[in-house]
Amino acid sequence: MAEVDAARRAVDTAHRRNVPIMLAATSVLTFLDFAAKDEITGPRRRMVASAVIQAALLGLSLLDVRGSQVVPYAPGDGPQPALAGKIAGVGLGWYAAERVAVHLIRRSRLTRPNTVAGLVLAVSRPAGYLAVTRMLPRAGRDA
Amino acid sequence: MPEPGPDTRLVPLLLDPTRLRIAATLVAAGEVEFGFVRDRVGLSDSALSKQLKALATAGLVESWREPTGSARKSWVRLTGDGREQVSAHILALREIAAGGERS
Repeated sequence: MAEVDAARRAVDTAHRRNVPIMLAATSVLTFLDFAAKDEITGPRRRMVASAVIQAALLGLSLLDVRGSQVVPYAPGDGPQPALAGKIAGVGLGWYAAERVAVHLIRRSRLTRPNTVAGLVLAVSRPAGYLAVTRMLPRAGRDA
Repeated sequence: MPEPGPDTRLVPLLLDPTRLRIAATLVAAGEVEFGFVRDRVGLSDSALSKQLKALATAGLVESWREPTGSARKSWVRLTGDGREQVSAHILALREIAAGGERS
């Protein structure tokens, strides 16, 4: 039975290997995306900077998926609307809360509102990612 | 008192330690890359392919190769029925081991 537990640990280790790097990269790039808006003048340049940073985020996510050797989540037997609804609800709620926070920060009298918003999102985005992934059912927990 | 019969939850194919190691790796994840199983179980590519073929013939696992890309990976997973059988097999082994410890 030690083999089953060892296999579970090996799968968890393989899955978690890149998680800290991905969370750190998400955090840094999200901060840069927002902070750049306080530093760069001109809407066009800001849009280009934002597009580059978001493309980097997308590229990193794809590399992470591509480099992973395990999918730890349990395959569903079919559509699971209750779980999908729960995850979508949490995701959308999280996004709405972020937008409200960014809106309030931008309306405040701070000299660098986007930098402050970037700091807030640099924490909340990785936290949101962790919260959502923990809601996904893991395979083999009942074996 | 008659002796109890063999536990019907045990899967004969998984009584082999190598195949049990493969199944234990697969039951711990949804899908696993071929190379990960090979490195964990310590088999060559051909030996693992042979074992997986035996498990696939019994309907316990399924494998596929990524359709595109220059470095296409092969992935393996337990079928729905296979997952149930492996879980039942492991549960039966746990009960046998617990019974052995008690007596």
